[in-house]
Formats: sequence, C-alpha cells, structure tokens
Amino acid sequence: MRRMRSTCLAINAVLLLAVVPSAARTRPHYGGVIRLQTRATALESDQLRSLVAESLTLLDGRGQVHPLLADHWESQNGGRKWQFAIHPHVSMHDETLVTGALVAQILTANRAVVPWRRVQGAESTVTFECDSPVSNLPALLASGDFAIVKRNDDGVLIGTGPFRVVTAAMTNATLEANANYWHGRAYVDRVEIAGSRPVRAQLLDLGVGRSDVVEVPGEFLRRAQQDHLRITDSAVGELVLVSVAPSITDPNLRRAISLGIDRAALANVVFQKQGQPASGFLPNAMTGYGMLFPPAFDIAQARDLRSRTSYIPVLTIGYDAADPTMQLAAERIALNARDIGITMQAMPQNQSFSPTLRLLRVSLPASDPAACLSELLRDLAGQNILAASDLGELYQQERELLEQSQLIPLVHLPAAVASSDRVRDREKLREPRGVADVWIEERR
Amino acid sequence: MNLRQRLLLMFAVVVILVVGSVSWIVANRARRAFDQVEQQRTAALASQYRTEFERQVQEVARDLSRLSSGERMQRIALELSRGGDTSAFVNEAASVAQEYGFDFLDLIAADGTIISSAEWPAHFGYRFALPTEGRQAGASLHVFELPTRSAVALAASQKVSIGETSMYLVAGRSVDRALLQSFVVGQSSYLWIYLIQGNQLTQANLLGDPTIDLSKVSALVKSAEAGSETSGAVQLSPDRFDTATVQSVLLRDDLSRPAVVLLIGTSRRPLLELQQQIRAAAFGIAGVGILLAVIASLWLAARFTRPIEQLAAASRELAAGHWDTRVDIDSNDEVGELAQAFNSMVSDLAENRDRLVQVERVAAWRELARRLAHELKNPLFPLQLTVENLSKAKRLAPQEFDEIFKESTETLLAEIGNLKTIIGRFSDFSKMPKPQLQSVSLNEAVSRAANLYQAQASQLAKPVTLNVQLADSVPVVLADPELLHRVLSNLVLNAIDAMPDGGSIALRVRDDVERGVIEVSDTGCGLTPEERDRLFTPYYTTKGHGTGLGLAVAQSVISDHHGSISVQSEPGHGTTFTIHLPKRAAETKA
Repeated sequence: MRRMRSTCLAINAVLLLAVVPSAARTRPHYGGVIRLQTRATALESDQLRSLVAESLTLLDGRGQVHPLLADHWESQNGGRKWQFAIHPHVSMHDETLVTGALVAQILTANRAVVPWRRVQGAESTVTFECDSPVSNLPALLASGDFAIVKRNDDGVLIGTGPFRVVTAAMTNATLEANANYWHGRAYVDRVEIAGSRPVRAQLLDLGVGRSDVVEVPGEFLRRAQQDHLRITDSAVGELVLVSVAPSITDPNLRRAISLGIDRAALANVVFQKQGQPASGFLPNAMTGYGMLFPPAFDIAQARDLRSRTSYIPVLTIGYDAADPTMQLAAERIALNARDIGITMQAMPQNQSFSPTLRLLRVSLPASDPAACLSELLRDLAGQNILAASDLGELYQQERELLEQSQLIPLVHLPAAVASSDRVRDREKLREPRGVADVWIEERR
Repeated sequence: MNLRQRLLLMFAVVVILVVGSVSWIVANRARRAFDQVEQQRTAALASQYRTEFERQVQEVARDLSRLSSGERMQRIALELSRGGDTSAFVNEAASVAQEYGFDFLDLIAADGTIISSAEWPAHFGYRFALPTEGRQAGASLHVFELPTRSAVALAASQKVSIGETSMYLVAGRSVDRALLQSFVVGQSSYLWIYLIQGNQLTQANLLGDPTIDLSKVSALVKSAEAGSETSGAVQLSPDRFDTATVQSVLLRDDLSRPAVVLLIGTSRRPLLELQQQIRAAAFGIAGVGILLAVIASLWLAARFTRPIEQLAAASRELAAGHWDTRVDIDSNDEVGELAQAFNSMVSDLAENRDRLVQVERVAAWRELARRLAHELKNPLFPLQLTVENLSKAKRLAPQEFDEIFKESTETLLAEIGNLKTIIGRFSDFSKMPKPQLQSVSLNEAVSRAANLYQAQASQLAKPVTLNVQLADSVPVVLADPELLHRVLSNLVLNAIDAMPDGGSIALRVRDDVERGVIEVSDTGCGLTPEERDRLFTPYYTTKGHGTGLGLAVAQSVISDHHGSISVQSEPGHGTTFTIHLPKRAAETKA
C-alpha cells in the first residue's frame, strides 16, 4: 500500500513537472517582436497610427465611449459646450507633458473640418464650444482624426500611445514599446509593420512564418477559413462605395448609376458572399434602420432616369490597381452601367488620372453610428454631420445623403485579421490597438 | 504640212500601230498566263491557310480537352454537382487560362450563365450562347465579347459532366498578330487578316506585314464580307513593282457570321518585271521600226514627191515668165504623164502668148493710128482752111492779101505749134526715162506737189482746196523724185479737172510697215466701173482735152518703182488713187 502510495506520489510529481512548464508558457510575458502586414503604406497605416497616437476618448466595439486621455467630461448649455478633464501625468513620446493647452493646440492645428467652433485649453482641462448642440462629441473625439499627435521635424509621428516610432517609411516601419506608457507598457518589445502588401502576399507570408498578423478582407475570409487560419474578426467593418465626381452634376445620372449597380452580384460573387449589399452607408447591424432604405438596385428605374438625362459623358471608374477584387468590382459596375446605356470604363487610379467615379473601400471607423457617419463623410466628402441627436435624425440625414447619390454605398464587408500561432491573446486583435495587448510566445 | 511630211507621218503611224499592237498582244497574253498561274497559286495558298487555321483550332480543342479532363475542372464540376457555390470559382478561369495559354476561357453553367470568364472576369452571371443554342459544337472561330470591343478567336467548346450535372468550357486563342506570325508565309506571298467588328472598317482591325492602308483592300474586305470572295491588285509601296494580287477568303464564326477575312497576296513583281522586259523589247523594236520607217518613208516620199516638186518648180518658173521652162521626168507612170501634159501645156501657152502679143501689138498700133489720126486731124483742118484762104486771098487786093496772109501765117504757125506739141507728147511717152533712184521722203514729195498747185487751185472760178495729211513717222522710199512729182502732179491736175464746180483734194501719206502709201482723193463726180477699168489704158481719157497718156505714164512710173497704183471710185462719191511704194533698203527716219 505504501509502495502504491509512493508510486502514486511519483507519478503525480512527474505529471506536475510536466504541467508546470506548460502553464508557464500560457502566462503573458514581455518581450519579442510582432510583425504586421498591411495593404496600406506603413507610414499611413491605421495600425501605426493607432499604436502611436491616442485620442481623448475611446469607442469600444459596442459603441460605448470610454475615457482615454480624458478622464471625464461634462456638457453645458445643452451640448453646446463641453469640458474634458485631461488625465494627469501623461507624456508624449518626446517627454512633453500632455496638458489641456497642448491638446487644444494640436486639435486646432490638426483638422480643418471640426465639429466645434472653438477649443480652449487650460492646465488640466480642454473646453469645446460649438455653434449647435453636439450631443455625441465624446464619441466623435474618439476618431483617429482627433488623435493627440504631432510630427517632429522629420515628419515622424509623436503621440502618447503604447509604441513610439523608431523608423518609418512607405513600405516599412518599426515601433518600439513605450516603457513609460501611462497605461502600462505593452508586452511586445517591438512592432515591425510591412506596408503595401497585397492580401495574397500577406497570407502567403503568414503561411511561411514571415508575418504574425495579416489583414483578411471580407472576400478572403472564406478562403482563410478553408485554410484553417487563426482568424480574429475585426470590430470595425468595411464599406465599398462609389464616389461620384462633382463634375457629374445631373442628379438623374447619378441616381441612374446608383440604381443600375447590382450590389447582390458584387456581394455574392466579387466579395464571395461575405458582404452584405448596402442600401445605406452604415450597416443595419449598427443602426437598425437599414431596412428602411429602398432597394438600391432597380434596373428599370435606372434606365428610365438615364433616358431623362440629356447628355451622358463617357464615364470612367477608377480603382486601386493593387486590389484585384476592386478591379473586378469596378469592371462589374462598368458592365452594369452598360446595361442601362451608360458607357463606363474601368481604369486603375494613378496620380495623372482623374476618374469621374472612384471605387473605394473604406473602414467603418467607429461603432457609434453618428460618429461613424460623421467621420466617413468628413473623410470622403469634407462634410460635417454633427447634429444627429438620435437615430431618427441620423436616418433622415443619411437618407438625404443617399438621395444626392454623390456617394453610392455598395457592399458592407466584415474585416478580420489572421495571426500566427506566436501571437497570444489574439482576440485582443479585434481592436486596431489590440496589438499592444497581445504577447508573443516563441516556438520551442 | 507638205506631202512628204504627211507620207512620213503616215508610215510612222502605221509602223507604230503594228508594233504596238503586237507588243500589246504579247504582253496581254503573258499577263493572262501569269494571272492564271497566280490564281492557281493563290488558291493553293488559300487552301493552305484554311488548313493552318483548322490546325490551330484543333490545337485549341486538344488543349481544351486536356483541361476538361484534368483534375481542376473535374473538381469544379464535382463541386457544382454537389450544389456548390459558383461564386467560389469566379477567378478560376483567369488562372487556368494562363496555365493553358488560352487568351479566352469561359466556365459556363448548364443553364448558360457564365461562372467565370478569363477575358472579362466581371461578365459572370451573364448568359453565354451554348453550343446547343445554335452554335456549331467543337472547334471553330468564335467572337468573344470584351468590355469595350469584341475579339475573334480560334475557339473550342467542351462539355464537362459529372453525373447529371454539366458544365461547359469555351476556350480560345486570339486571332491577332502573334497568331499571324505563327503562320508560315512563303516567299513572294503575303497574309493579312481583317477582323470583322462592327459595321465600319477600321485600320486597327487589319493585321499583317507589311502594313498596308486599309483603303487599298477595303473593297476586297467588303465584298468578302458580303459573301463574294474576290481578288485584286494592291500596291504595297510606292515602288511600282511592289504590288500583289490579293485574294479574299471569308471565315465565319460558330454562328455562321462573317468573322475574319483572310487576304492572301502573291507578289506581282515577277509578272511586272516580265511585262517590263516585254515592253522594253517592244519599245526597242518599235524604235528600230520607226527609224527604218522614217528612212523608208523618206526614200519613198522622195521617190513619190520629187517629180511633183519638179512640176511645182517648173510652174513657178513659168509664172515668172520663163516660157521655155520644161520638166524633165523620165517615167512611164502617172507622174510621167503629168510631166508630159505639163510640158505640152507650156508649149501651148507659149504659142498662145506669142499670138496674143502679136494681136495686142496690132491692136496697139491701130489704137495709136486712130489716136494720131484724131490728134492730127484737128490741127490739119485749120491748116487746110488757112492754105485755101491764102489761095483765095491771092486774088484780093494786096493790102487785103497782106492782112489775110498775116492772119493765116499766124494761124499756120499756131497749128504747126499744136502739131509739134502733139508729136512731142507722143515722143515723150515713147522715151520714158529710166528712174534715177534715191531716198525720197513721201511727206516732202506730197508737200511739194501740194504747194505747187495750192495757189492755182484756190484761184479757180470755183476754187478747190488742198488738204495735206502727212504721216507721223516719215516713210522714206527709193524713188526718182522728179518722176514721182510728175505722177503726183498728174493726179492732182486730174482731180482739179474732175471738180469743175469746186471741191477739195486730200493728199494723205501713210506708213504701212514695208511700204509707203500715198492717197489722192477728190470730191468730184466719180467714175463708172467701165471708166475705172480702162482708166490706165494709154490714150484713154474721160476729159474733152488731153492725150489719155497721163495715168498710163503714172502707172508706168510707179511700176518702174516696183510699186502699184489703184483707184477706188463710185459715181457721185469722188475718186481716190492709192500708190504703194516699197521701202526696200531705205530706213524710216524718226
């Protein structure tokens, strides 16, 4: 019996020895390099910006606003005046202390289109004054557009984020962990970002271990799943849309183009059934009112509107030459246009070519509908949508925008990232700045 | 053009026509023979290129068969048979087409909708006319739709079936320059391809080397498109030998629509060079022929025309007054007869002339005798009467006799004087002096005559005025001034006599290039045509007095100066005498 007990103790000890190292490997630890790849240039990529720069507030995936550089805030005068208290003892990467005055200075200098009339900074507070009530200003300030960031003489971004820029070029950027990050140091020591990488190349690199985190656009999700990649859905999706040049002044023509595009074919075939035909700018899951918009594809009405157009120029639709999916989509749109009697030519975009239509794939930047639409339109059309205090008002504003057909939404796409098995806590990658929260475990 | 030149021209034309006709016939026969050979050659080439097209199409069909039986297409067909999502294969055609070297590849579902298109990826979901829908199955030409145009391809279609599910594959290789270059084109032959797209012909659709302007073959393309395969000559470059006979061959697509026109050309250089040689030979022969013809015609023309020219020369001699002229032609033909007739005619003319001269001489003597009798008769009658009076007066008292004797003596002397005058005039006429030529200004001569008779004319009971119109450029002639003055004086006096009721005389001098002209006009009663015709006849006069020798003398003088005198007159409209005197060596003084 004693022998048996001894034997059991020995087995337990062996098992314990076997289990302890295993448990140690799953515990987060500092160190390592994480390699990211993106279709955008490294210098302008969302990853770089989100890891280096921070805004006053933060929107989570559910659209909830959280404090970030601002500790708390309050509104006065029915949302016309907002005061944000700055988190104390936050320094930028160049050791400059973040104060209300610095925030006001950066926000005043950064953007031409802003939702406020005046911003004033004090020692620990910053005050926004608006012409009309802006009830969702905290959500709007979560946008990367209003990040508290500046550039040094070399054009390098200097922010308050968990990483700071070591080198930055168009194709490659290297970030290192900010040891004095006010919210706690990131796990990984360094982030290497390879930019201007086509999706297929990214997936290949991930497969052969040359990358740790790669983008998986919607149309590649099925293939990625079939290939059993480690997929993490992104909190923000994408919108594929057409931007019509202001030179196309005839609203009937713009509307005809919009109604003539078979969005279902785009979503089902071009985007491999991963997208949803878009009748509005914001996905129905975000607003809940998407189904209220009329069907976006009506070829009979499109032909009727086209017939009411006196002069139809030869149209061109430009697409990103580095994105084969967008090329296919652009050619399909040109084919749809031909079906309603409009001559349209799909051409890759470049600096010397100014198309009458542009096919764009943009990230839906926020989970808050008003903030998302506001940022979307600010980026695409230089417009400021601020007044929506509730969903009903936002619906009206979006409907008016849709009727103008200057921007024609086509497909809502999910987005995801695929990561290598070195990356731990990969669910954190749902957020763009989630790289700061993952850790690396080297293979043994 | 004289007879000799005409004969020469006629011979030359005949020779040229003959040589040219022969050359044309030879060249034409040669061209026809070449055309026949060319047609056979072009037909052989057309057959060869048709075969080559078919071979290329079969190659496409073989590759497509390999593709359809491959694992990739079988997997897709299997997926579809299991109700798989066609959208997963939307990019499949492009990658497969690249692998198999197809320019066109369409994966088509059983219902005819395009699953994937290599040439137009965005065309998915659209319908494609399947072989079962009127197309010819298997391999043929096919017109693929592209975003901005259509393209002709050597195409093949294949059905892939898994169980009861089917899928169609349509693949093609573009009919383009690359395909054209893969064809073996023989020496001295050409191959162009015209791709039929749309209603208008465009240069861009004409493929082949050397590049030619579409307008040169557009007629061939159009007729072929309309179903009539024709041929024609096409100039390939400015070099005139660089032409080709081009035959059009129409190829239709799998829907039996005109798709491609093959333009098969064979160089015409050998034919043209041969034609050139024939033409050069013809020209050489023609040149030699013409030269020989010229020589022969010269000889023949000389042989034919020399007697005629002798006759012409003899005629001119005869006209010049050489009545002893004879033609010496010794031949028995028509020309010889003509010469004998000429000689006989000249002999007859000479005899007749002599006879006529004798007759005229007799007539002249008779006229002279008549005139002498008339002239002498007038003074003789008073003489007779005076002598008879003297005889009678002898019987009168001496005092009366003396008176009568004195009167008679005066009368006799006067009449004898008249007789002397008459005899003197006849003597003067017979002794017309030879002109002493010297340079004479007609203006001066006319002025002199006018000045002489100006006063006399103005002092008449019915005065006559003299108007002188001199020439601006003074004509100078070689003449005897005294004889000329005598002529002008005669004309002026005649004019004064012709105007007993007064009037005017115009003396005009003109310069008529090679001659000096003097006109003497009066406003008298004019002349009848009979008077006018006989005016210059010696001893003819219209006046009651005068010998009728004045104008005869004037004509004689002017004739001795190699000039001419003429008269224009109508009754009641005055008379104008016109004298033409040659300037000869004399120059015109400014």
